[in-house]
Amino acid sequence: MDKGLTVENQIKLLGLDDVEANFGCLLELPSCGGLENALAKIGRRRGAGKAESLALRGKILTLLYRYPQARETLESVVDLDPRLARARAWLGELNLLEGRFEEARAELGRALALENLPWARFHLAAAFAGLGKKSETRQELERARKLAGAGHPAAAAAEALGGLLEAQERRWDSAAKALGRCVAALPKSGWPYALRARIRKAQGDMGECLKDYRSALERRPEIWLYLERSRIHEEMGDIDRALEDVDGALRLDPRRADLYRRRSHLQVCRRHYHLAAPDCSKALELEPRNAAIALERAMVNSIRNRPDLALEDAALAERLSAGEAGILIEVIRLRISSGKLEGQLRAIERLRAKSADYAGAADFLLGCYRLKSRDFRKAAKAFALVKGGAAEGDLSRKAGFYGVVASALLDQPGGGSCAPGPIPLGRSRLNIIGLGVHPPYSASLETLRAIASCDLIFNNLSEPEIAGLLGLLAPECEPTMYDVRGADSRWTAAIFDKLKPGMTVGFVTRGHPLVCGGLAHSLMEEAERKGGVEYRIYGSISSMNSLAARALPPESGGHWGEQVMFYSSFLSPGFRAEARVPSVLYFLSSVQTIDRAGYDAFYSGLERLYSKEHPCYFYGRTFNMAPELLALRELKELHGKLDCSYTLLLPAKEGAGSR
Amino acid sequence: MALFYVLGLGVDPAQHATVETLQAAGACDAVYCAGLDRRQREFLARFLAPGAALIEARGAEGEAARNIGAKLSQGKTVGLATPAHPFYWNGLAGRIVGECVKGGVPWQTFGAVSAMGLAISKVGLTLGTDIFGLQSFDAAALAARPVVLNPEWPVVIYFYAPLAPKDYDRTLKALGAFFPAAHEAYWCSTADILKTSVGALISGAKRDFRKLVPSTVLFLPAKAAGASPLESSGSAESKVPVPRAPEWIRG
Repeated sequence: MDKGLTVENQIKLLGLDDVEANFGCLLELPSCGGLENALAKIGRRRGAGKAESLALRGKILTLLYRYPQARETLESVVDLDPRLARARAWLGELNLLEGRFEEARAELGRALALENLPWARFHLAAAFAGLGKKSETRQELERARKLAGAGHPAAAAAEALGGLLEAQERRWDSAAKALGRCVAALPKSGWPYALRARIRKAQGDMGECLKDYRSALERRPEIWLYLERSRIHEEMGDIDRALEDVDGALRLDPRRADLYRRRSHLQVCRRHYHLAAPDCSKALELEPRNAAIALERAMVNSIRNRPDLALEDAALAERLSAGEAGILIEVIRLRISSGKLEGQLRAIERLRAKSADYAGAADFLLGCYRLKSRDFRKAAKAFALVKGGAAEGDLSRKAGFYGVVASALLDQPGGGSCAPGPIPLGRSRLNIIGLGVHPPYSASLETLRAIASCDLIFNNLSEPEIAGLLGLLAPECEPTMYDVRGADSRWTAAIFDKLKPGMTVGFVTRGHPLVCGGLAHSLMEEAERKGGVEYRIYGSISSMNSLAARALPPESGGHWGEQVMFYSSFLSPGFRAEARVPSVLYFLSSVQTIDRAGYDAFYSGLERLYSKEHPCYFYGRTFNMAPELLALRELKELHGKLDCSYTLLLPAKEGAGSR
Repeated sequence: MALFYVLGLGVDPAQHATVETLQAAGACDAVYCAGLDRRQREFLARFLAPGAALIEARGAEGEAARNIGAKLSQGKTVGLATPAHPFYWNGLAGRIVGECVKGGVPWQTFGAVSAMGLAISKVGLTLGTDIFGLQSFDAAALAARPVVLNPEWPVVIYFYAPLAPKDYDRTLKALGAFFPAAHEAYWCSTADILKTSVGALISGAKRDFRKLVPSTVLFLPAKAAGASPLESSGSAESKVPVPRAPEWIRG
């Protein structure tokens, strides 16, 4: 760059006149590489031009987020030449970026007194916005728009800020229109689309929101844009797209640990814990002294029921954390869960002694310790202290859950204990346990007692809370079984391999083990074939029970029965059913390939029972989601669109009458 | 803000109540209960919040509904707990939920272990593999009305509604009209399962009536072959799936 160029020309060459305001989260930047080069090229001039060059350095340092250096530089320029308006304006902008709104206002006021700069006018409006002075903000925005003129980036920025103010007042339409004008003024810039995307999100218009993010990314792919869109996809439940965005961000910078952590988090959301662990490892490789990452990997390994790895990572997190309480709490919990109880009581008391703020956490950990030690009475007491204390949110919720678990495992009223009785000599025991459709919260007391009576647990549940529960109730857990579908014989062999005489082994699954349950069926058959194995099935809330509870009752009266049907039942000649009670209808995998004639026969069977307008509640792949409400006649057109993951709830026919 | 919980404690509350149901009970200012004996009320009380009231919903449904409605109108969180699920226990929950919907009071419920769930656990038949349908009826309904029974599905009978001896007789007669005397029947309780027959049930009605409790469940295997026409294993004869695990089935 020619060092003889005026500051204005230098600004133009660097594209700095295209730089818009940062509201603490947004900046349109030339690439960092370009700015670094520019910084290197700007000479440290002596004599005339020194102040202008230094001011430019200060501005570029601001753009590079090196705020302390930028401040030092710009303040020295103001000392050197108090009448250099641009330096004051850039110092004012820096104050704005750091949230020092009053100082920003003052400095920008001084800059504007020297020279009427459009950007300074705009930044002054932003400072007033930060101070909550709405009418001053609007006034300055209007001045900035007039001063800059149509087409100037500062005018577009003023439109944007105006839009954000409208958004603050929840006037979404006018906010979106203002951002639309900004988009039109700067068609090549990405940030106006990003701002409008946020407005659209606040409006709940996710379709337009995602379109705007796409437009923003097409114009300038930025890591923060990918991350914002990734979070939106995650909120919408589209984890695959959320992951794609993280991959997009990683292509821009593959050396950012936070991106690997984000990807690991999303793999956990998808329950792909075996994929989450390597991402944690990569993040740790990039930030080897980050205790939080070590702890995250410990928790992933714990969820995978790999206590050996979880404990190693917990020890690493503890070493790196230098006694930070948040890390310590999770480390103690992991150790207790893994059965490493020695020294943990002392660790809990040391945590409690740190501060009264940690009393709730200490009581929670004490409850976990007691639970693992099978002292259910003391466990219940400890968890009750957490609930009653000042602990909020997640800890209180967990303490409430475990408090019930501990109470359930106390001796039952009228005698009895959680142990089902000794195993006859030479035999082993297999507990086949269902934790309901919303595990572990839908677990029944009987199933909790069954788990606590096991020596070893197998499970195929991917919810993270399951690992915590099983870790505290069972002495030993096998790694979580993935890919159980279609692998019954392999897992049956693995479970029976562990069933030694005198042992109780448990297989824990979701729902009711005998409702559409393949592996439970295999296990029973094997037990009967082999002999010498006592088995017991602990049923719990199945989808049919969960849905039946939602079978909206008639206004007066309750149900006097219920039915569970498979769609194939309707194909049997002479099929009969009782339509005056709620029915749950399952689809088998064959529904995907049934021909039109067969499907029509199924539909006709339904029409014989119910009217065409009979409400049908259509549940997707999880039974805790809100169903889609259809009229019966709409089912006719679903041939080829169904699979075995769908379930239908048919309420009782009207006029069923009361009990 | 008022909130109404419909709390099903499952067929045998001390065994089948779920964690989420008990947690919800613990969040209530008052829990009304119906159909729980003294031991079961003591058991439930363990999970209530300090100072929360456990009140038996006695008297006519209308009166109980008014009492609960009055509490809700005070902005309280109120639960109604019964064995099984309140929507199946009697009409009270349905009545209150109807009022809640009219009055804009939020309400919530959870699934509960049902007679069906208990029955298939006890007999060891897999829904979707061994059997492709299941029907479950309150004994009083079978006594009082002509119920449509599907011969290809097993039948589960439960005893939630109060039953007089003559109603029990009528229930068994209704079964007897549909199943032959030699047809297998299983008397299931939480702790045990006893194999019997329809004929033995009918002849022993007077004796057995005294043993009936709300957690009693009767299971009758299907009358006709219940294999799915689409998912059959291909065997020439379709057999009626019978309960397995003969070691623990007494009788």
